[in-house]
Amino acid sequence: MPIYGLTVKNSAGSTIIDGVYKNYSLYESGSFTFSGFYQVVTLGTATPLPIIVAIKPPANYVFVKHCTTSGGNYTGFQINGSEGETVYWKAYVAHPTTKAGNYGLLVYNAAGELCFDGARESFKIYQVNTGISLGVAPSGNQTITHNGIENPYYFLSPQCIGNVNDPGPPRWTVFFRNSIKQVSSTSVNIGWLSYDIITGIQSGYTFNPNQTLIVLK
Amino acid sequence: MSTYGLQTYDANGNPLITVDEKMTRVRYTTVAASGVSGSVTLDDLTDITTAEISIPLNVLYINQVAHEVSRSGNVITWTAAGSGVDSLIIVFIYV
Repeated sequence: MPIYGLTVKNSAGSTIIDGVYKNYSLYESGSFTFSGFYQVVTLGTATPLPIIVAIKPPANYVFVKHCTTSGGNYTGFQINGSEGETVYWKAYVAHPTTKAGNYGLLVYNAAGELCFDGARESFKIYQVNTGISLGVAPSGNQTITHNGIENPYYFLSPQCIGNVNDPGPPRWTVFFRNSIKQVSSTSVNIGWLSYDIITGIQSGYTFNPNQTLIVLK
Repeated sequence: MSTYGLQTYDANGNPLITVDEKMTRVRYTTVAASGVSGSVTLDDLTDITTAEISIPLNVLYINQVAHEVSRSGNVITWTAAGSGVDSLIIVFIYV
C-alpha cells in the first residue's frame, strides 16, 4: 500500500490503480489472415517490456505458439491456425513508458515511471475461468460461455501439448497444442489443434495441466 | 455504471475506466530459463487475488512447452515442462 500519491478502488473496494504496481495497457494491435498454417507477427516497434498477446479467435482453432525476442527486446509473436482464417490481436505491456496524449489521468511510481495512463486502453478483465481441463488430444475440449459481453479478446495459459501415435505402418506421431475457437459471440471452445507430424513413435511429451482463460473487456 | 468515483475518458469522450472495472496490475515478472524450475516468495500477496501465467519464448522444436506456474500461499513456483524453453513468467493482481 503506497503512503503517498493516488489510489483508486473499484466499487468492490479493491485497488485498481496506484503508484506502486503498473497497469497493463495496450501497446499495439492488428489483425491478419493466415496464408498458411501459421503467421509470424512483427511488432511495429520492438520493446524491452514483456508483452501479453490477447486474441479474438476465428471459427477454427488457433493458438499463440510463442513470443519472439531479440537482443533483449520483444519483437513479436507467432500464431498457428488454418489458412484463410482471420485473427485479431492486441499486445499489452506494463506499462508503456510514454504518455499517449496531453489529456487524462497519469499516475507515476516513485521512480518516475508511468503506472497508469488514462489515455491508453487498459487490460480489463471481464471474466476469469480457472481449472479448465481438456482431456486428452485430439478430442478433449470444453466450451466457455461469457454472457454479457460479445466478441471479446481472450488470453489462454498455460500452453499444453498432446500427441497421438499411430503404430502404422507407417509409424507416425501427430502433435497437438491447446487452442481456442469462437463458437458464438458469447462463447468459445478450448480444444486441440494439430500443428506438426513426424515419422516414428514419440512418447513422453504429453503436458496437459489445467488451464486459465481470461476474457477481456 | 456507478454514479460516483473516478472515471476517465478518451479524446472522444468515451469512458475508459469506471469504478466498476476489474483491472490488472503486474506484481512480478521474470524469464525462467529452459529446463530450470524455481520459485519466489511475495510477502505482500496475502489476501490478494492473482493470476499466474507463463508464455513461451522463441520456440524452435515440436515438443517445447512453457513452464507450468502455480501459487501456494505467497509462494510462486514455476516448473520446467516438456523438453523445455525459456518462459516469461508474470504474476498479476486482478480485482
